[in-house]
Amino acid sequence: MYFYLYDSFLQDKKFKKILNKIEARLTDLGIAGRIGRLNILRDASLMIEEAALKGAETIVAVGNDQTLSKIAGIVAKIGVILGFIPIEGNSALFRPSENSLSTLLGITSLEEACQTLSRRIIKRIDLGIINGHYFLVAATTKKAKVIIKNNGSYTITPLIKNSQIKVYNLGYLPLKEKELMSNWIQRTNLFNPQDGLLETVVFPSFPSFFSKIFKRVAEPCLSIIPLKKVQIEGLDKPVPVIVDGQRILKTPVSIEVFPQKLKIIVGKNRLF
Amino acid sequence: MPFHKKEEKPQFNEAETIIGPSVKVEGDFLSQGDVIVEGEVAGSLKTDQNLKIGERARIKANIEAENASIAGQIEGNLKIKDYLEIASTAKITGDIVARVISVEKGACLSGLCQILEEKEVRGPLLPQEEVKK
Repeated sequence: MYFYLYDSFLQDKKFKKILNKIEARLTDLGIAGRIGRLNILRDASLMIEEAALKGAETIVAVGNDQTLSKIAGIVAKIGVILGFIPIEGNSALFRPSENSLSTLLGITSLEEACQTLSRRIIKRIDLGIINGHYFLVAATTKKAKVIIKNNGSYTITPLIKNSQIKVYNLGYLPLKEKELMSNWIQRTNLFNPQDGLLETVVFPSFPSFFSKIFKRVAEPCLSIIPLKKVQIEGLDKPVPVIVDGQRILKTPVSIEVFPQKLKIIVGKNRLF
Repeated sequence: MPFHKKEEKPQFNEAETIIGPSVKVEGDFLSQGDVIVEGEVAGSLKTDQNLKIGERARIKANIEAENASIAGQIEGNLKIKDYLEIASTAKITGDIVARVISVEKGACLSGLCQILEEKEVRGPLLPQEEVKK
């Protein structure tokens, strides 16, 4: 049985037409179900728990990438299956970007999203956990002086001040940032959510024009270190850490991977 | 007529782990995949697969890998279970043990160099001196 959880931004009138179209298509495919709508008064975790108690085996996030990230942890805790219908902006112009979760999951159109739910190809993927909170995509620090520790075995210290650290579970290294790698190095820019690892990426800040000329500082290159467990600490003061673009925590943070924690419905053309 | 399999040279420009020139790693770094190092490492560095030490790398650590390509500076002992390639820009101060070694003109080596049979290289490590700090 399916439970469709609509994000709060879908209450706008401009989405009414496309939501009606989706609901009709789901009925045609025989996978219609109960609908819940998120708003500031209703807690997502309570709604999902209630739906699971009433027999829902699949919770479908209807919204954007942030909607999916918001409920992924809740679904994983309960142990049901997660689905996704991506809607962003005007649905008629729905073209998922290269870096979006829908592209990674193999969902390239709204029709494909409904078909994907119907086909029910289910894969288990990793989730990250940061100070007790699950995350699906990445945890990002602001540019600051930080130190990274791997479970007491070794520490990683950025040598350029104001480096940014991103700990990825799932996603892409953006093309602009991939250019920070030495051009002779070959590495896929996809972060695989089934490898049981979190990729810790250190993005150094670019040196100023005067540093390049007078101090002869070389162009910075990024570092990528796959880890199962990592701690991040600010050297001078607590540093904000943004989790999945939504929650903000402060260092020190402890980040760990939960292998194969989340069951998710994926498309045939997924990228992992 | 037996066909002799030509040994393929390992590829060193692909890796899952990249230690860039703007980070320093201190401690016992252990990996199970290919590693590229262009930054600083102090302590020990061990991988089960291929290791590439770039020109900009500065390493004060004992190193162990399946195959390695060295182009930077190392103070420490190397134990390479199969193929070791030392580029002209490499500067190594420490003992080396490997099965096959290739050294380019211009490389600087200071230490004992042993080329052993496979079973001897994969055996237990010989007693090593501590890395001088």
